[in-house]
Amino acid sequence: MKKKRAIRNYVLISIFIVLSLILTFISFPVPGTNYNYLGIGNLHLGLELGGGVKNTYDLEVADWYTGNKTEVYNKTVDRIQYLLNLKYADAKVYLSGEDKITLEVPDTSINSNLLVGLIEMKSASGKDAEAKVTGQDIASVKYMLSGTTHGVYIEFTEKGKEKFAALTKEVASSDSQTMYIYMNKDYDNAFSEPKVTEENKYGYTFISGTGITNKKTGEDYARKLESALIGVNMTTELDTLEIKGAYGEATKIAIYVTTCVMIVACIVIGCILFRELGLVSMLSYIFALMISVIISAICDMQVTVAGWIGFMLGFFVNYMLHLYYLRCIRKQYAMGKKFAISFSSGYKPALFNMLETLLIITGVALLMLIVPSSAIRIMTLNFIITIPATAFTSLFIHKVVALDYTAFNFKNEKKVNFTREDEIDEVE
Amino acid sequence: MKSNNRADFIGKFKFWMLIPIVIMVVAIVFGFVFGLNYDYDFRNVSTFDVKFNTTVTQDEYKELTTQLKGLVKTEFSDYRIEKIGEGAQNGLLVKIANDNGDYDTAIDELKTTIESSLIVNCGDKITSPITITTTETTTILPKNASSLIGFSALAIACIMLFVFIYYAIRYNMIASLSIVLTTLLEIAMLVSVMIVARVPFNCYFVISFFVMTLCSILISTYINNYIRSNLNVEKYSKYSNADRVYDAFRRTIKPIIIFVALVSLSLFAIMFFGDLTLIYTMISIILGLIVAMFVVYFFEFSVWSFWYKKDKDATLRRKIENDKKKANQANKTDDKIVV
Repeated sequence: MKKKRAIRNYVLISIFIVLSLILTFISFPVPGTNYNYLGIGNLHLGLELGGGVKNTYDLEVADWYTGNKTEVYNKTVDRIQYLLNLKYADAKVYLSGEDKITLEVPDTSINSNLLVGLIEMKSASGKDAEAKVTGQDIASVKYMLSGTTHGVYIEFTEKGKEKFAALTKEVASSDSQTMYIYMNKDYDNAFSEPKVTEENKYGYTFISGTGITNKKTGEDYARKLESALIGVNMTTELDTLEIKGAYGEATKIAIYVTTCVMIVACIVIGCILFRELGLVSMLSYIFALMISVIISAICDMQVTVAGWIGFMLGFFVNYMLHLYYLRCIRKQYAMGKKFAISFSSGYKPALFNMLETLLIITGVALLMLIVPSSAIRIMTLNFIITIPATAFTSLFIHKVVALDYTAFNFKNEKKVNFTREDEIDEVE
Repeated sequence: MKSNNRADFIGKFKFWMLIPIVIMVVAIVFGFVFGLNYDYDFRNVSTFDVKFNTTVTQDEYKELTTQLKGLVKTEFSDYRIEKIGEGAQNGLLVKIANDNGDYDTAIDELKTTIESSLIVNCGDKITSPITITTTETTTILPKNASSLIGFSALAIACIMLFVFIYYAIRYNMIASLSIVLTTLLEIAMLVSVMIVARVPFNCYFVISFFVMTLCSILISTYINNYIRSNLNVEKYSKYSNADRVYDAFRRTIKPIIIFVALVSLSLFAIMFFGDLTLIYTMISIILGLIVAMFVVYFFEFSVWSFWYKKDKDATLRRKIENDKKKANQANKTDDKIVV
């Protein structure tokens, strides 16, 4: 009966591994949704591995800005890097010469929402109309959900409050009652044209409609307006240039090959250390690996070298925990427990220590996200992705496969490389 | 702290601690004499595109890259070449370290040489109608690393606080102080090793610090758990603290070496397939792992052991006192029976 259950468990795990392997290599659109599942071979690559596009922009400081130019340019770089990090794993931004900035993104084009521009609020359309409210008059911008309406909440400075009151008074009394918001000095296309029906003296406003249909568009809109508070405008007349991955195709292949070689190495080491038990244990280990790969694919994680490092770290932590449980079993046997009993009694001391290790490394990894570096972020996220699979397999599946092994071998310690300590008698 | 163990590294603590001290002193001297070694992220870099103005085959791309490297190499030692563009934009990007604009004239001369000689040097291997042109030279300015360093310091401080509190609750104050000191020594040692080994600092250098910190906390937790789980085991009660630490060392070194070796081998395997940035990043991470192992085993263990000696091991003391109490009670009972 026990043997049958063990065989059933091994077969189920093997089937899952085979199905996961298939899922790793194929891509398909999920029926009934707009979501495309991408197998590992088709995952989006980061800039270093897959290349992308780049463009160089001229920088212009706003008339109202009175501070240091270097400082505002550094702020611009930080702001754009922040926006890039929200969308890409390893996009780059850097100052390239005097008053120039270059963006490199792993994409086919550079989205204008990623650029920093000036904001101008006018009562009439066109370049010649006076900008009544500018970035210097805005204190803060944030996305807000008012009831069921998505929108952007703008709070003005003391001076801005007066300026905005005067602007809204003028617009409300005009025929069209339309306020014109321009970004990036693009006077041919207003960024937004909200209707104003009355004077606003509150010192804050809430803009809705005009393309803000959900949380995402609202947040994009808010971020774009927030970028306009820096006081720098970006323009370019250059075409975007396609760039190849700096690390190239060879690195990508090396990453895949190294990962496979390391999995095989882990299995071999497991088998050398614990023979048959090591082999059985590796079923659980590969199971965890497959879950992690599928989670990565579902989350559509971009493949980068930093991300791969995080993934490999998680993968080796999982391996360590698997070996740890096996060592605990061996120790129980060495201290005198019966062969079959040592499998269950080894689990108790291992369980808490494994849980503790997972807890502490998860805490450390989460704290690492404080660092505003895309490399650290993507490495940490890939590492964190492996933790649920590690927890599930090392704490549960591994115990099941190890206990099931005793159905096939309930006394031969040589098959699993176990030995008693000197002068130890068997105990119950 | 005396022990009969053959690997008496706690007894030779002063000797082992000479290694980080010497490295740090050498690093300070190197820092003052040669300055810090920065990679392209933190330097002025001149760049220009070499355009082929037509689509080229893979073989032609390789040949053009090789010949271009040859031309750049004759003038400059510190350069990078990357592929750019498709179709008519096909070409190569040349990056040359140019810290104070010293090479502006040499770069202009190089561009002229490239336009006139690159195709000629390729000989018959090029059949596509390539016209070599170079674009205007632009300068990539060094990145401002202040916020990166600032937030990294904050993250490390938060991690140390988190681990300190956790270890204090889970183990004891000695273990928690040990891990904090270990983390600080590791950071100082890795910076020193990178300065001495002249590994350039780039935007990715923070990865090595975090991988090192994560691994050392992982190893430390593993070992602390091992030591703690054996504190109350009868056969260990006669051991000195140093012996208990040696036992933990002996029992844990193999899995830890397997872990560190597997991570290092993985990084080592891919470092030669990318550019210099990748090589520098991987070297710094591997150095970080070695430093983590060294510091955990030769510093944290020793600190742990010394302090336990002073503290007389609260757990062990309680156990001995309990044993004495039991023995006393047993003696009294015996007396009563006699009476």
